[in-house]
Amino acid sequence: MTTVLRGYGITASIPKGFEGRITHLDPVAPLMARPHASAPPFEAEVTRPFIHIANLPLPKERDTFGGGVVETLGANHLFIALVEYGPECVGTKLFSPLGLPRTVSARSFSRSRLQRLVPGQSGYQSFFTHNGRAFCLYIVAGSYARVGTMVHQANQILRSISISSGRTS
Amino acid sequence: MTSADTALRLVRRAGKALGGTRMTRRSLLGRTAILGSAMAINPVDFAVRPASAYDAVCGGAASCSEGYSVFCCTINNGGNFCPDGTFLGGWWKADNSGFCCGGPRYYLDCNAICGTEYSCHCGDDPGTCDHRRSNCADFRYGQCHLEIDCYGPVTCRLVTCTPPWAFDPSCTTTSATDNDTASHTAPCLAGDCPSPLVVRYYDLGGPGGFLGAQVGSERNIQNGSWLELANGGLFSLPASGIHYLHGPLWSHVEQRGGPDRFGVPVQDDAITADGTGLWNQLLKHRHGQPWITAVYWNPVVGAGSVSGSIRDWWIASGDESGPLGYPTSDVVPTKDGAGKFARFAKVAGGAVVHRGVVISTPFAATHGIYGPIFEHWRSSGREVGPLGYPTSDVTATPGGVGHTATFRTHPTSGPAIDSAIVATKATGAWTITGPLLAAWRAAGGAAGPLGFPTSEAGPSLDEAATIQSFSTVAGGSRRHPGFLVDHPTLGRWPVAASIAATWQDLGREAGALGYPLGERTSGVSGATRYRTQEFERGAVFTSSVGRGAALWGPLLEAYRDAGGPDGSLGLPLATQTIAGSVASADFQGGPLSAPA
Repeated sequence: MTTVLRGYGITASIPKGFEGRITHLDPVAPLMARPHASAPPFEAEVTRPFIHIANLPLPKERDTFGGGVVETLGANHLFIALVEYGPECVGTKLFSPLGLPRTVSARSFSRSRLQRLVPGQSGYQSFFTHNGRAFCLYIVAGSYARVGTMVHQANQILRSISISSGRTS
Repeated sequence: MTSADTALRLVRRAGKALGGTRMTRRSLLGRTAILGSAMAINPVDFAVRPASAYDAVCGGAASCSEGYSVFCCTINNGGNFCPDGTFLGGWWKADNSGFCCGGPRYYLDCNAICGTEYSCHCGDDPGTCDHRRSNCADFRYGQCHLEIDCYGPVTCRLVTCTPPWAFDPSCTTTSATDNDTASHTAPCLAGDCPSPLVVRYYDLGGPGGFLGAQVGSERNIQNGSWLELANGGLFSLPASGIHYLHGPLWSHVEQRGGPDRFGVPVQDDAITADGTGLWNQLLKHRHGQPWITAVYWNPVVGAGSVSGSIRDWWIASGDESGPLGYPTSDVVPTKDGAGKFARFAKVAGGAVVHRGVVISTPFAATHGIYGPIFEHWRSSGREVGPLGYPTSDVTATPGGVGHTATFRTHPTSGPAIDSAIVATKATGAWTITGPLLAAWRAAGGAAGPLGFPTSEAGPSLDEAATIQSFSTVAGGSRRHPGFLVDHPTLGRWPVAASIAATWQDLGREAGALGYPLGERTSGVSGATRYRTQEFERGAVFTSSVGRGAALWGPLLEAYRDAGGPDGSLGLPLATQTIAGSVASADFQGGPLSAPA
C-alpha cells in the first residue's frame, strides 16, 4: 500500500514499509538580539520545510539532515532527506543544477558523503533547483554493500515526488 | 587581493604567530591540562555528572569513531577560524545551548577548497580531548558561499553564538538544526555562557586568532568594558558595540598611555581609503563632550594619530589620500607652547614622497603645509624661527606653476612680520619677507614680471641695500631674471625681465647703471611700444627693436637732448658700446656718439 505525503507544495508517494514526514520547525531567536544598543537587530533565521522518508520508524525529534535517525539505521535501512533552501539560493552556482534527481546510481554513493560518518553507511548529496525552488537531496544507505539494491527503492520514491513552483514560506 | 588585504593579512598573521606560540606551548602541557580545563570550562557538569574530564571539556562524541568533524581551534593553533585552503560551506545550530546562555549555538563547516590537498585523519594530540575527524566527511550544509559549487570534505568546524549571516555575510538565514551536537565542544573554545565581549573575541578567532591570547580579565572602561589581548584590545561600549584595536594601531596606543588616554574604538580596525594602511577611531569624553582621536598606520611611515581641529583640517584636505598623507605623530604642543601640531608623511609607491605638518594656534587658526614649503619652513626654525606660524594652507600659484603659503610671527615675539614661502620645481623654495613681500605682491606676485624667488633676500654688493632675486618660469624652466631692491634712501623697486637681464649683465648696482630709482614705465615711440626704467646713472629701454638696451652717462644725456624716444632717433637698438673715449649706440633714427 502506498500513502501520499503532501505539504508545502511537495507531494511524495511513500511505499509500503516506509514512513515519511514533512517538518517545518519554528525559528529560534539568537542569544543577542542586536550587535549593540544603537544597531538594528539581527535578521531572524528562516526555517524551511524538510521531508524525511525512511524504511524505519521516524522518531519525533529529528534534525534537518537526519540526526536522531541515521545513527539507528540498520544494514537494510534507507533514509532520504529533501531539504528546502531560500529563494536567495536560486540562480547561484551551488544550486544551478536543474531538476530533482529522479534516479541515483549506486556509484554516486560514498562512504564519506555523510553528515556524520557512521561505519558501514554511505551517502549521496546534491543541490539543485526545481520549479524555481532550491533544495538539497541527501540519502543515507545503512549498508554500503547493499546500496545497489537500495537505490531502486530510492529511485522509486524520487520518481514519485512532485514539487510545485512558488515560495512556500 | 589588494595590497591592503595583504597588509591586513600580514598584520593578522603576525598576531596569529604569537598566539600560535602560546597554543603550542599549551598543547605540550598534555593530558594533565584536561582536568584543570574541565573545572574551568564546565565546573558544574564536571562536578555533578558521572562523566570523565574529557566529557566535561569536549562534550559528547569527541572520539574519532563517533564520526563528527573536529573543531577548527583544535587543529588551527587555537584559532576559531577556517584554515588556509578551506571556505565556509554552510552552518547548522543546536538550540537551547548552555554554551550560548540558552540561545542557539551555531556551527559553521569549513570545507576544503577544490584542488587543495587534504587527507582524512583523526585527531591524536594528547594535549586535547577533541579527537574528532578532519577532511573525512564529504558533506556540505550549503548556506554559505553559494558561488562555490565545487568543494572538498569538511576540514573542521567553527563555533559561535552570533548568527552565521552576521558572522559572515556570505551565509544565508536558512537554518538547519542538529541538536545531537549540542554538547560538542573543545578546550580551545569559550566556556559556558560567555559575555558578549568573549563571544566576539572567539568570533574573531579566539586565542589562536590575530588578537592573540587573553592577557587579563574583563575590565571596566568608560561605561563599557574591555579585554586586553596579546596583540590588541577588544572594547565594548553600549552605544557603539564591540570593536577591536590591534597590531600596530594597538601598539601605538598602548605605548603612549593606552585606552585611558586615547579612548575606546568605535569601529574595528579598517583598511585606509588608499588601500595601504589601517585606521580606527577612538572615543573618549573631555569635559563631558565626545572627543574622537583617529589613529592610523602605514607600513612605510608607522603610526600616528589626529584629533580636534587638526583632525578636522586633515579630513577636509582628503585625509590620507590628500596632500598631507598619513600622520606620523600624535597631536603635540608646538615648541613655544602657543599651539599644537601633528606631523604627516605622504606615501606613494612604497616610499615617502614628502613630509608636512598640520599646525593650529588661536591666532593663526589651523593650516597644513607640506613638501618643499614645509622643508624650507622647518630648516628656518619652524614656528619659533623668523617665519613663525603658517597663516594659510599650501595653495597653487596662478597658472599652477608653483605653490605658496603665508606665515606670521607670533604676537608675543614682537611686531607681527608676514612672510611667504614660494616654491617651484625650477626655482626651489624661498622666503619673501616683510616689505619685500608687499613689493612682490604689488608687482603682481608669482603672476607678475618678477615671477618666483630664486634666493633668500640678502645684502647688495655694496651692502647698502637688500636685494632678492627672482625668475619667471615657463615650460618648467627659468626664463627671465628679476630683482627686488630695497634701498634705504632710493626706495624699494622691482627690476624685471629684459631690463633685469641687462642690469645683471652690466654688474647690477655696482655696475654702470647703479641702483634703480623707480619702477619701469611704458611709452610709445612712433609706432613702437617700449618700456624703460631709470637707474642712478642710466636707463634701460626695451622694445621690439632693441631688448634691454642700456644707455648711461653723456650718451644718455645726448639722447635725451635729442628728444629721447620721442625725438628723431627713436629707440635704441642695443646697449651702448665704448671704444676708447667714445660711447656710441645705434638707434632707429641712426647712430649717436658721445664722450665715454
